[in-house]
Amino acid sequence: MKRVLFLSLGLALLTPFAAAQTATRTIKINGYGGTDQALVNDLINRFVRPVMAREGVTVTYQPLQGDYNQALTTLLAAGNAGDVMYLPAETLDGFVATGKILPLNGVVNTSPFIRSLNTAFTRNGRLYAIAKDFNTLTLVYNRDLFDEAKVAYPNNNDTWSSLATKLRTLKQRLGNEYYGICLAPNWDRFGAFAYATGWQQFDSRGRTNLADPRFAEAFTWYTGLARDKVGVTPSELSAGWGGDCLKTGRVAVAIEGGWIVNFLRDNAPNLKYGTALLPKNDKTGKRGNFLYTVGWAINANTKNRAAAVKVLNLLTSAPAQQYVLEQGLAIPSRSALQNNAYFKKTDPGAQNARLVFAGADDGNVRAFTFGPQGPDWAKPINEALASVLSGQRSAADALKKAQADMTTFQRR
Amino acid sequence: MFRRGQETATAYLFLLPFLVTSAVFFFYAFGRAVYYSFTDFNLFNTPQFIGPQPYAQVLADPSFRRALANSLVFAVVTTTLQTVFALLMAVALNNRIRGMAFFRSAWYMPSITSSVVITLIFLWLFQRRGVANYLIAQLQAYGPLLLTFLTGLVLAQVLQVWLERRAGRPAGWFDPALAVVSALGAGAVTAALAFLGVVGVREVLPFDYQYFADKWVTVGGVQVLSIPLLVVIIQNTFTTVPTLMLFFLAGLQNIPGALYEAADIDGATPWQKLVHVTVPNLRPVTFYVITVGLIGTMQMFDQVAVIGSAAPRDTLITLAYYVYANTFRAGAAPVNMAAAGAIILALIILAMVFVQRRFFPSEVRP
Amino acid sequence: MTVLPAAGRAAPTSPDERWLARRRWARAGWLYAFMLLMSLFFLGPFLMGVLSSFKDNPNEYPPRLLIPQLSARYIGAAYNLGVQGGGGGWRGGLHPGRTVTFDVQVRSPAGTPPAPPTVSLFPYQPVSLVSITRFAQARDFAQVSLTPAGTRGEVRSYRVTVRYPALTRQTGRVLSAQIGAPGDRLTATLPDGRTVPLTLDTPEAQAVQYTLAQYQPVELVERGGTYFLRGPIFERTPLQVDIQRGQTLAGGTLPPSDQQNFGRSLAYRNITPGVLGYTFNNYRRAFNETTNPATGRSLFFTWMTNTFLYAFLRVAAAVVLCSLAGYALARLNFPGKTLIFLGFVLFAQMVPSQVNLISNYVLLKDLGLLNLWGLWLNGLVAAGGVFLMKQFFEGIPRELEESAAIDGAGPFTTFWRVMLPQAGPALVALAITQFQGAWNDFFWPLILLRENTNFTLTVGLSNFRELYGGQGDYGLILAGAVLSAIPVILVFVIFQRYFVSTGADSAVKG
Repeated sequence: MKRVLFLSLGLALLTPFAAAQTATRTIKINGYGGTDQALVNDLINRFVRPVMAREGVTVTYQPLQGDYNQALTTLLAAGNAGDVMYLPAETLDGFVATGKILPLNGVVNTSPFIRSLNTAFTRNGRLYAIAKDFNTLTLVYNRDLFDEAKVAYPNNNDTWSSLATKLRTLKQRLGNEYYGICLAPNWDRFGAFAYATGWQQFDSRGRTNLADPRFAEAFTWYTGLARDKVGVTPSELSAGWGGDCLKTGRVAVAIEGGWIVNFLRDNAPNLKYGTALLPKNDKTGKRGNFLYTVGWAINANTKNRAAAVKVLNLLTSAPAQQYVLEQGLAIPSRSALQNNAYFKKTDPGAQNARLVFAGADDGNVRAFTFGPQGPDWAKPINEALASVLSGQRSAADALKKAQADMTTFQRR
Repeated sequence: MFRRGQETATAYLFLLPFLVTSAVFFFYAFGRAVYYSFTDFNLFNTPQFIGPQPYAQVLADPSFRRALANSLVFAVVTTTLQTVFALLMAVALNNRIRGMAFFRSAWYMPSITSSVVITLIFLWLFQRRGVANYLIAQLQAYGPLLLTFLTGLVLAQVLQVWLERRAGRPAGWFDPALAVVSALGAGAVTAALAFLGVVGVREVLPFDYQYFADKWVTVGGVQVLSIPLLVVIIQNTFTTVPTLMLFFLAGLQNIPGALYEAADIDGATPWQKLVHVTVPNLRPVTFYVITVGLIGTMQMFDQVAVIGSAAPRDTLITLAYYVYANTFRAGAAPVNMAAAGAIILALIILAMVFVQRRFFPSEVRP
Repeated sequence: MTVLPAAGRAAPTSPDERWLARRRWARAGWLYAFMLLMSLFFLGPFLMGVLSSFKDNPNEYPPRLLIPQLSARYIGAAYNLGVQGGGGGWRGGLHPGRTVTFDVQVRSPAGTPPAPPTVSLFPYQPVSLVSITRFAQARDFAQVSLTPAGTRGEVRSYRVTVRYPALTRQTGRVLSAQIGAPGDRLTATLPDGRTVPLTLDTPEAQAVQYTLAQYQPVELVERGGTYFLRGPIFERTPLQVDIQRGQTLAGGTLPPSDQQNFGRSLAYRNITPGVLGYTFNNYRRAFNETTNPATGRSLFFTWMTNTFLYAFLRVAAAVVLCSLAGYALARLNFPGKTLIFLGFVLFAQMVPSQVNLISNYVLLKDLGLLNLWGLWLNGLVAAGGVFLMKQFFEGIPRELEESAAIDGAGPFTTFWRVMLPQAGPALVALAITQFQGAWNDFFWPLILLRENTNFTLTVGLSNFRELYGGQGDYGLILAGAVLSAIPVILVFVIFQRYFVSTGADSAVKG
């Protein structure tokens, strides 16, 4: 009783401020704030609104600021999330568990999209989202340093050993102040190399085996680059990540994705850089890679399912994706776009985009995820990498400890 | 004074906005939090009563235990440091001098700016190649000169005091006038030695230490205090010491001068005066400062949220942040655990206040 | 304690006056030195932050205290370049029909080929927080040339000339505008809000008509009611200079902002900066890079006004409601008084706000109040403020009220006419603490404000940290931090007296 009284009091005081409710047929889209807001509004204006208006449906974009996952969660819980929404692949498991995401099998035609991207959004045979765009890792290198050292640029045929030789030669010729490669002591870069050996993140029982010789091979190679200071961790250069390393002009190679292009344009405008695919493992002859992707998903509780599906199809349609690509805004998910003219441009940004696109379908490519236990899963690996890269432990020691930590962690 | 009925009505009318907002945003909210902490609420279901199980889950959650340990360590260390430093500074500065207004303004600066601004500045200062590490490197480089100067200062002072006493004047070891002369002399000697090339600036490598990393101070193999948390402790001490010092200063000026005169007559040393006169007389202020300090530091949140991903989660997580992070999450969120965590935090704080009230009664209320 | 020399073991029986005076002076000197040192310690981080917020790269190592952005020589040069570019010495920029000259000195030691550097303009537009508008780039409109300008010893001087020809030969009234929404014809929105069609009377102008995006600033010529496009206005003129192997840079009109390729590739991010674009570049960026072209408003500016509004609302509510409640608790007798004081005032202050987080968030969300108003309502009457006012009213002598009561005044009249006028200093103190609290509030705004147009400065700044801190772009973060600290520092400096006295008094006297 008391509560009702207070609430109605509150309401009476505040009605002027409360948002008016609308009752027209509306499809609301939730996504990131920032530049995504401008980008998606642009897309909606060009490709979605004109079509949907004919059916009497208005389409609005509601950006969620701050931590998107948190914000989306609260909206879903309260039942006022959008009909169509961004869904990051990393947090897919948490959202699938809520039962509020509509499985898209049989609702949307998935065949035009890159297969590994569809896999990234599939759980137990159900597809929960269509990739909006994606990113993979590439080798981004400073041309000036290779020119100065008279070493050939990294290329798409490089193997782990040939790349290591190039970096070692470069370091020898340029001396103390310069480094071959920036190595983050982190699963989110190293993992791509572990996949190249054919190692699996989880076995059939959901366990992670770090004692696997394939994992050890990747680990030894990656940390071995730090010998003689050929490789350097970003923090040793007071840098936060690979892009920062390249910006200093003292590191020849960084392992990064398409996000580095904008960063270099703004922060190192006169750096001449090139891009190559990640090197192949010598034994398997394959590369590994991560897929970082965000998808479009549909709210299971939407009142206008047909309209929501239509909006999703329009957002991922060939013309819309081509537009996104040509604006240089993101790398779209349709496999047919590989022949797009944009990829044939010669500026370093377009070249990087082409290789990021190519990386999605070359070798052992896996979605970037920590598994059901969340980001803490990577901690033993990160600690092991850090301790070896900083010279505190030997690779064998570190791996042994990491495996023990991982076992404890997975028993929790 | 006024008619009884009218007075009651007026009082409640005056209090109405306060009572209504408190009831809705405090008591009702408090009740709901208690209720949720005994249910299986995860934002997506209708809460079902499940008894104290969330509390068991929370206590078994390693990240809660880390948060609890971090919060307690932070609260105790920060409160101790800021109280001690504030008291010492207040004693050192307890003089009525000209220009105090200026110094007060300067010292107040850290405590009036927002924790967000200060955290951002500290994040920047304590980068691997940041200003803090640069100063350390400079200190190492100028170490020999500094050491020469200090040695010279001490020697000159000892020599002068000895001469003065031989001449029959009652000079103390810290005699200020002689210290000026000693400092000038030591400076001149250092400059001369530097000019002759006997001592000089050392070549040192940049001091590279990464503060915001997974580094810990361990005691017997147990991770007690993380380095990022240590930086936040330094930051918090830095921001609160000036304010607390002014509290102490106000308290000091209320101590009757007669007490010190009496101590002087008894031939007390400055240290004895501090321990036997100053500290006991400052008890009320001290307890107030400690209570407020503990309540405030137990709730530390802003710094953790602002630093966010710049430091590993475990090194900084506090109870307040644990509650926040478990409420706002991707997908189903363990709100019941968040609520249980919040209730535990509240109980700890209430217990601290209770203990202080019960065992250290003072006439000061917060 | 007074300023007196420390007493020795044997107190002097006949103190030498001069001996004592000397000690007093010396002691005061040490004291001041110590206090200055402490001031430096407490102000140091801020001063360092403020100083570094002017730098191109606040992360430079070793950190310099003397920076080009604050040297008279370079500020003068920036001003002069701004004037040459046509945007004025203060704002800078490159306008159509202008020519800018920029000098570079290169040292080429004997034995190295004395070839001149290569110069070019390059595209440079930092990513904005909220907009994807691609603005026109000076590279596509202006020509750059290099002429030798003398040799002195090993140092050769070169003059870089950037010419930006106008796209029309018409003359008349020149005015600035923005390109309008895309349509059949290129239009421009004039400063007075009118949208006019543009006439493109030269082949050069016709060639660029499809490259100009909406909101692009442009310069027009008006003649007889017809508007001719003179060309886009560029905020920046980015110049790249590549010198030859073996040569080193010996100087220039401005120092370079980036160096690559072993110091042989030099980028000047803006050679027409003006003083704002040079010294205050990071401050300008904080506003400009958060501008949403759809609304034309800078987010940073919106955050600032939000914070002011929130602080003002909090102060207003506290001054009225806390003093009412405080007065009732201090002076009126009514049943439940003790309970209210213990429960609503004391207990409420001790319970951490995290306890109320879930419920208040859900409640305000259900009411559609996840905005400033909800934030305001959530902390409408601060228990601490009620406590402060109660303490204050209890300290006022009762005689005043009693005489009012004899005159037949009711409680409200007494409060309004007699008590409140007495409360000036306490109200100021309350207002200041509430202002500071609101301005610096972070926890509740972080929870309750969900749209970036609703943010307060603290939340916006922590967003800056997430967006730019990861990239190491601390210039923007420091500039934002300094800007957001200024108002509260101003309030503090003005009302300093109240800050200090209230804090300490309430602590000691309780």
